Amino acid sequence: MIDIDSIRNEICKSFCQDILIEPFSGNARADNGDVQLAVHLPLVGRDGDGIVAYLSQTVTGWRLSDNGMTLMRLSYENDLGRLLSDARERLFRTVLSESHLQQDNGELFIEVPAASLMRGLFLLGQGCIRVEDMGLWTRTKVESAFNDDLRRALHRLLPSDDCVENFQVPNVPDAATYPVDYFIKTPGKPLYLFGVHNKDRARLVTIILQYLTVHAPIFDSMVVYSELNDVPEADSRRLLAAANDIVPSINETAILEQKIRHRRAA
Amino acid sequence: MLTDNEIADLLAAPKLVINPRARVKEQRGSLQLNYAAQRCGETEFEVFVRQSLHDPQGFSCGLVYTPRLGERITLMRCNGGNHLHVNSLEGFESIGKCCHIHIATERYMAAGRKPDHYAEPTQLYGEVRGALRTLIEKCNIEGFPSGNKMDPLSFLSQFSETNND
Repeated sequence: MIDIDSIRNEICKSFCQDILIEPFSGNARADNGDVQLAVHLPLVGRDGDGIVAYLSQTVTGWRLSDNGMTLMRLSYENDLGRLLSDARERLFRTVLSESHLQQDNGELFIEVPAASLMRGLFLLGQGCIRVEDMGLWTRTKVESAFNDDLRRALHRLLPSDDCVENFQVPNVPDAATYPVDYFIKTPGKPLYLFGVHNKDRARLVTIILQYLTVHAPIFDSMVVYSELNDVPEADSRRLLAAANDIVPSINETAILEQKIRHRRAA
Repeated sequence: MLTDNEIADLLAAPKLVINPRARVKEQRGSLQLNYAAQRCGETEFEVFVRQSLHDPQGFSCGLVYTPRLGERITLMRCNGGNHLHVNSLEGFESIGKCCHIHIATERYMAAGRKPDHYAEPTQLYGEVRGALRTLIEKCNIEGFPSGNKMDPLSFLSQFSETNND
């Protein structure tokens, strides 16, 4: 029979043995004399480097910080300005929020009551590893995820015969250079739908729509944004002038559904 | 994926830094320097220097292979000693809390790990400038300014400990 108490004791004992604690003489630049503790957690990032929690006492408990190491590690292979922008900036904020972490000039930290030190150590360690994993979310992968989401949403809404992906409008000169993301069949004008996840894509779709307006038979158009706020206002304004309708976020599936059903019923 | 022989060839190939006067920038708690380097006239590498503003031992200098096609791979990285490191394919024991050099390996790539996961302890340096010198020597990089006045890392001297390299 399994002796649960014995296993619990073994886990606690070995866990404590795996934690290295040492004094840390504080911020090199501030040189304010604060004494911190460096707690080396039995957690490693993708590159095998260990996570360190730097502890300092507060009036009510502890402040636990990564001393900025997580974002510095991410900067080895990524431009932080680009990595923490658009969709990935939202993901970064989500990870911080779910881990109860705050950020101050690159430093990730959490403040906990004295009795919650262990909980704080786990939250900081887990949050740092999740932030470090953002290095896997390259711009190409984010774009690919958006395209997958849009494709899935349309396939859920429409019979496959009524939704043609990567469509070239017939009888349009050089049509291959001005492709339509999705041609959606309706009883009236054809609906051309485009996905937009960043400013470059917004500019390209604007050009395509302007070209098709001149060269193609009359059509209806719709733009689905990954997130409207990710595209600069000037680019969005030009796109809104070229398109008939928009869905401001791929997450607003009810709006997408309502707008497409409305056209299909016309 | 690169083989160990290809990695060794890339490390040994002569490289020339093409922007030796790159400026230090401060971003989110660390000082950063980024250089581009050429091999046979083709820009295929980046050299980076990072120094934490919070911890003198929080530093790293690395060489990244940036082929025109394919993923960027960090071939070597000389790290500070402010954290433990575990070579996960060798077991759960850490190599200790010491300066260590990450090296890309075919074995870790084949296992689906980060290419530069594997690391070995080193006593070749103890601070960021020594780490860069070590990287320059091991990776055959030329083109950095010489002499104190031209030292691109003079900005970092305030973070250097006793120079034990």
